[in-house]
Amino acid sequence: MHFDFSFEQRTLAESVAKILKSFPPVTQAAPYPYDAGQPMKALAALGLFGEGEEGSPLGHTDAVAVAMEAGRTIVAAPVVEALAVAVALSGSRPDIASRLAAGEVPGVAVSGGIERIGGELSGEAIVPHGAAAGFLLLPVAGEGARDWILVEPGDVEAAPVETTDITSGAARLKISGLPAPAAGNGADGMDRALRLFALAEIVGAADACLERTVAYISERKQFGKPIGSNQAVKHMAADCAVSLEAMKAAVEYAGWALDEAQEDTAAAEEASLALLSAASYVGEHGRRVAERCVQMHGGIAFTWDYGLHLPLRRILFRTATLARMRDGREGLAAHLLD
Amino acid sequence: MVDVSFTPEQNAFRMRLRGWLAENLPPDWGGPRFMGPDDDAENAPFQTDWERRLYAAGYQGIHWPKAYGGQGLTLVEHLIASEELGRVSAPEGINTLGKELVGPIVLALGTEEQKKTVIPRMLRLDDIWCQGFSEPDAGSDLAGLRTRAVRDGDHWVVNGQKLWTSFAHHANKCILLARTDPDAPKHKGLTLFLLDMKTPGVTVRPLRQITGRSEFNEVFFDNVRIPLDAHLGAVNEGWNAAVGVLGFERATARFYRQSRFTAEFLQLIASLKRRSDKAADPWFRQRAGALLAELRMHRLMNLKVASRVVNGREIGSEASVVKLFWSEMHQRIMDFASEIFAEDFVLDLPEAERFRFLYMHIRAETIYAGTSEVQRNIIGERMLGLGR
Repeated sequence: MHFDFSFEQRTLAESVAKILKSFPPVTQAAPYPYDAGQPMKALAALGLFGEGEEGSPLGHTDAVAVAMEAGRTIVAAPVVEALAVAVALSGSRPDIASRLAAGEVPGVAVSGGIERIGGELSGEAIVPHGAAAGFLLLPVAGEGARDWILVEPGDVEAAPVETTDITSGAARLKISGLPAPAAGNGADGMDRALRLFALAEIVGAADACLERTVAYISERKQFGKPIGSNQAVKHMAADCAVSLEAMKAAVEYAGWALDEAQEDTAAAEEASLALLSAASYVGEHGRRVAERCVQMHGGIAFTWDYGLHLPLRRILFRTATLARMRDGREGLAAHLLD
Repeated sequence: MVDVSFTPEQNAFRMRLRGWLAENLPPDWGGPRFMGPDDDAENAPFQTDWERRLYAAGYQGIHWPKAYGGQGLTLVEHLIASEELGRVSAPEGINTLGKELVGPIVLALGTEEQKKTVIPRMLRLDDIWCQGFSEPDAGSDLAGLRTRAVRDGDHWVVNGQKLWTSFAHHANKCILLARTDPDAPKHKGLTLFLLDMKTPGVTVRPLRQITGRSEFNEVFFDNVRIPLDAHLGAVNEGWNAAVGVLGFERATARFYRQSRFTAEFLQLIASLKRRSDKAADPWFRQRAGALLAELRMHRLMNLKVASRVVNGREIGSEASVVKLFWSEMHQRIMDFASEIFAEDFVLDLPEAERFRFLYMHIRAETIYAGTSEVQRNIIGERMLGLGR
């Protein structure tokens, strides 16, 4: 029993944090001025995604630690998406592994619907950092099982799309009658990894929001004393701290449970419940913490330049696309009631 | 690595206890009769007998040293046993304050003599303990308590009044927090004592509580003379001692709640399933899912606490985090019950009896052992470092 990140995992997370923090802080809105390629190259150079075709050495729990750092920094790069590809696909797909390891930006659909009809793909998808993507991975439904399929950016039409998360660099892909490549690698592992790391990113972002807020309410004085010494504010901060303890435990545990499920199919149901529970809880409380952090700050948080809206926007984007509490709860209800 | 698994020995320990419980729980346990006999006079011997059998089978004092009658195992086995007892909603003991509060304080602060006398007698149910801390004017502001203990030759003389003293009407022993230096700042002049409830001058008056039952009491001390060596830990240093141990205990003593709450929740789910219109209703489905997720978060928090302790780390404000989390969650579970049973929640439907009772009973959980407001202060001030 050691329910905590190991020394190695902490060291890894610290190295990632150092890299992510070396990129200029995101402070501006569109037009999208950020080069997602640089952070991805730096993370690849760290060895996060393995060498050549060998695949990433990361497990789910390691990736949870890294995704939390991505949330803390709000870097303009698809770190969550890259981690999902690394953990769920790179081991079995040398072609994908080598491109990820070379620092290509993965364009992973987080919303939309693409169908395979006959031998052709059609539909739409939202892809963070779509314009910078070196390769695309799209979830495809239709005949047979749902699947993740590798598509080349040159083969599809991509247009920038304005989203709440101004740092997401999202593009809307339109696909019509694209000849479908051979089957990909099954949907479950990639779906789960993507959802889990999105949840972990939310937790990291909420954690950083609270950290910043606690510092602010300890300094900011009204009526001659720090606002954080007032119980109304202090108790709001305490509630956020409680939510964060639960959220951290939820994503760490879900990471462990998914790692266990790789080797032991009996552990698969527990992993599935762990992930649904994390979505149910983090899907509600991640954004709630960030919203309360805005409230505790007061007017300053409402200004663009203070930047507290950036983690809030990232959390909202992740929650609405990959971490909906309603889906988590319905999944748990189905387990209990059906 | 993150490792949330149990060893094969720990899993075997769990299965042994599970088997023992299947054979030893009272007949029909798991039916509507979850709370034991309603009548306190019948319930007390029932609870005593249950705890003695648990002890005889080796399932009490699990992480306490063997030298004092414990099992010498770790907090992980304690957590496992708590989960198994909670899972079947096993009878709650009569000596819980002894085991959750007095035992740990004595083990941490007591003299060798005190450990050897108090702990084995407690585990055998030779002594039943109550806790004399709160007073009419010292609740959340516990350190403002006024009960005095004054040295008089080879005795201490105690005068004052305690309130909310659970089990005092069954207890023959009491752990008392009293003021021994009225001139010192209020946190500095307090001392812990262990005393016999049969000492002349001790009067117990039961209080009827919100549920209609009487489980707690007022206790009056009128020139109660106790031996000079009856103090636990150093004189005038009772506050830090009590607070330190209480913090740890708040986090570890009641692991069983999580699985007990889960058992209650699963019983509710069975009731929900019997009402097929509601079981298909998205509102009920969403609430059911949300509460299962919270119950699972509660378990993860307990596992984290156990993991921290067995890996040699300290427990701090985590205790307040967990207590705040479960107490408010438990009340939300009863809100859910009231929606499932609708008018039957307040009428006489036997299926709803357990939850009707619990709804009232657990109003106490966000009040005792530090109110939710006190917990939020502790989290805000000690964990986040916010000013007072």
